[in-house]
Amino acid sequence: MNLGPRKRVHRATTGSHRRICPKLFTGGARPERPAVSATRTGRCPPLHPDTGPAPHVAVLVIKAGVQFLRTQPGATLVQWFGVSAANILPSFPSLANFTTQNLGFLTPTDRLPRLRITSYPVSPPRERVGPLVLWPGPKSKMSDIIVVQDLVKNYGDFCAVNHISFTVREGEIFGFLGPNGAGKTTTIKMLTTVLDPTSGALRVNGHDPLHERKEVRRSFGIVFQDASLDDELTAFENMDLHGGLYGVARRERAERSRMLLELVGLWDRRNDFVKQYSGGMKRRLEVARALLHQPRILFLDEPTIGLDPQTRNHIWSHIQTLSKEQNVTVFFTTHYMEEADRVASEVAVIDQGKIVAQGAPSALKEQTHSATLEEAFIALTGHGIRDEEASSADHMRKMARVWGRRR
Amino acid sequence: MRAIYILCIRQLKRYSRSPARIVGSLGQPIVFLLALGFGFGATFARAGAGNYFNFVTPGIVAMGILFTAVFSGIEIIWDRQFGFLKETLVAPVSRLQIVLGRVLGGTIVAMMQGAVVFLVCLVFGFRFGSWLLLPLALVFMFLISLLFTSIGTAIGSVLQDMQGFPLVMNFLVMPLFFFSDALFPINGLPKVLMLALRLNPLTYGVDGLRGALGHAFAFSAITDFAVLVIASSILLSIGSYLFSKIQL
Repeated sequence: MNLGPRKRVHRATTGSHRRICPKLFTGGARPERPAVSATRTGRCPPLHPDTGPAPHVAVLVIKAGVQFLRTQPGATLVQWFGVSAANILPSFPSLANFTTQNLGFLTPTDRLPRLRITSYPVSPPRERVGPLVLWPGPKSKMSDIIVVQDLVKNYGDFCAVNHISFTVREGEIFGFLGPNGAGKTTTIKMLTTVLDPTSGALRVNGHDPLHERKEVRRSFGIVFQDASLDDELTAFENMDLHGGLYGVARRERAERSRMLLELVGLWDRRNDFVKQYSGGMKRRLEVARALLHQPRILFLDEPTIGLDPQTRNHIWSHIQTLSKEQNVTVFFTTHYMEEADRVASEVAVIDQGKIVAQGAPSALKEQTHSATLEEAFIALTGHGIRDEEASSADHMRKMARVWGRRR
Repeated sequence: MRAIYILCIRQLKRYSRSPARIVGSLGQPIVFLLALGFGFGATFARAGAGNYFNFVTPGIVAMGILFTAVFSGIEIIWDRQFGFLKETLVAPVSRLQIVLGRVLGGTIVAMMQGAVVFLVCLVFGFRFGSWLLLPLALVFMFLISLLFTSIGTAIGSVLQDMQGFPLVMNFLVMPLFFFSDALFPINGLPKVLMLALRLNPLTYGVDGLRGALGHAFAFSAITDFAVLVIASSILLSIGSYLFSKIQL
């Protein structure tokens, strides 16, 4: 993300304030506490565990009010008054060092003409670092279609995603790489609204997956790691059902279904039941289906897993064509590094819930002095083999064979 | 509305395309119908309680509906494991619409299955009290279907995989069936059993169906109807709530 320091810092007017947090202006009545649901205390360790408590305390001063926000040193500002960090941080990069995890005693007033944030060192010299007017800049720049800021997901005591941040530019083919169980699928689930993050801020096509689910869902298409087709319907019926769910008009649905099925070479088999399809055909159908409602972003979670090289190349050439022709941003994960090297313009490497590197494949190779992206990947993530919990889906498939799909 | 309709149609398509499933789930009701219907007939008549075959038919129809309906609801687990659930959950459609579509589809499927069982009963010698009450019978079939599809949906939303399936069968579906008035009349039962029957919504469903098909109501049409409507609404709400909490 462009953290252009104070460029976008400007004074807030009361009017635009209202736009952001209407709750705070409900006719002078004392509003409830701010929504800090996105800042529940995570079990993940703070961002800079080694350095000990950071020497600063951030004080958010609301001028003309009496409110103060003291932040706990050592972590990150995530959300304040429904203003996500993704909007705040570009205007105020130094805030990245503070946290709102202890927002307990924050009591907002109903009149907030201006937010003012000041950063003081705790120990002398009591010299002022700030003050700066804190204000979310204009919507995150259009060129950043996915913004992930300090995302955390805990399952009980297990930390699946540990304070990750990255952005994806519009039109890019972005590879999200990592060993098994690194947190790739968990991140995709959170971006695609089916899993709520423990904390952190997300923006998908300018919308928040936690609160603007419908808008987010309309803006992406997804191919999941495992099958998501209805086997007992035909390919065309699967397309039609998808179009119906996404509210694509009937005529357009038929036209686009035809166009996309022809593109992936399945038009002739459109009336076959999906259960008669091979793995590669199912994948192609899923890619076609994901693009039916003209999404801005296409998520692909290991789209080529378990497929032969011919089919893999076939699928990737389709995806590249489609992303160019339909102007779609592609966000994919894969374990085939040569694939990522070939198609991705940018990759991020995640390991054990943390992003360990991000950049163009060539930059990563250079950084690790490796000849191939695979070597770079191993240099970054080590040689150890990762455990991944057997999913209940595996047990289920076993059961299904035993039961012979009886219901 | 569109999403409800689409998901409903999907389930009907799946049902109509698997004749094996339709025939397969007829087996159990037919065995019950033949073994009990004819087996107990003589004793029942000697006790002065009338024609047992006619008495048990509504119970068997309700049984067909009960099993199909619970399975339709539990199909969520299959959809979850075989992936299609994800497709619906990421669609820009509210969870409520998805769950209503599923429940409505399952309800219609269960009703159709009940109708098939009923046709079989007719073949084996069931005689109507009055054809005029058939619409009332359909209303009760619909309510029974709705009620148990909702229960299935609630269970399917909570269970992660089919491991819990025998549990549902043995500790929910079977007791619901046997501790109802499907197989025996409610009069003159021991107090505890009577209480169990009165707490079981299926009892009212079977009673309503039995009344509509020409027998005497043990309660009354109004009571049966009211209990079923209230129970369905509550369970449908629970089912919708649990479904809305599903995370992948």
